[in-house]
Amino acid sequence: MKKKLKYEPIRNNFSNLRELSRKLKSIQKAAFRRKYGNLLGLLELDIEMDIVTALAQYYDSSMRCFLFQDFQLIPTIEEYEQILDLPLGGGIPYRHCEQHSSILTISSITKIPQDVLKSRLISVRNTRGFSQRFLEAHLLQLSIKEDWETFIDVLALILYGTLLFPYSNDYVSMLLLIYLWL
Amino acid sequence: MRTRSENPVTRVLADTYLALDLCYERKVKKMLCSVHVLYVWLMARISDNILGVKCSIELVTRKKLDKRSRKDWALFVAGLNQKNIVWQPSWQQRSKLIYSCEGFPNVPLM
Repeated sequence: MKKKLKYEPIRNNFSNLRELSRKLKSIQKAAFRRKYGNLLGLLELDIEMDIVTALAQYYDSSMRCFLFQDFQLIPTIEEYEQILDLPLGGGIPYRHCEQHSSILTISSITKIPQDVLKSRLISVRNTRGFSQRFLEAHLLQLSIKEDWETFIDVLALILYGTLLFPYSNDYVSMLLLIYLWL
Repeated sequence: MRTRSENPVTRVLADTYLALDLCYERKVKKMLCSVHVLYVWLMARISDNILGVKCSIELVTRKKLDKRSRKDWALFVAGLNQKNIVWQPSWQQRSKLIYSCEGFPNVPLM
């Protein structure tokens, strides 16, 4: 038996986001799903982290799969498509890209003025981004103003940064938001 | 101006492999990938013996696991074998499966 691997996932706090997402009416939730897939379903998950840690012990780097006692298993693109409910068909496929979204783009999507965004920029390990709390506060404001169209996009932006592409605690990197908006 | 951009699916999967690799090589301790998606994937594979239902993705996202200790989960995963794993979850509607290459089973795909 090999030595146990140390393994700690980023533990982002999703309670605020869950609460805020419940403000959406079912028609708005449907609109969210059409645009961003199953992110709201994933947000509701209560993850038993210990089973994921247990699973990770069986990953074999040379075989690129999980090696169990008498079988091997790997997650596939098809399964991930279905879990995320974002079919690849017709979409632009993966392109390696290490490019930050521009402040201008983020500003036009979130409706946060550019100078405010600039003043709230933080950087973590060679990336720039914003704190989750700052964006959540903005999300709350949008819900008060009942600007649901922007609300949906900002909610997706935070979920991309924390749930799909976690980078650091309480941090939404601008690096991968390119998947949302070019 | 807004354009619908790239599909994140392949990147999410690639990040999962990268994170598992980096953890395996003990380069980092932090798991920088979507644990949520990996978790749903795993649940779908073990749903028959853990949730007692044929699993759909919606069910996985709604159903909570019973609380077990870390040691119990480790034992549970260690006890997985080809008889109690779900090979094709019912929500995966795929008609074509590759299970061998010209009579050779167990050919690595990558």
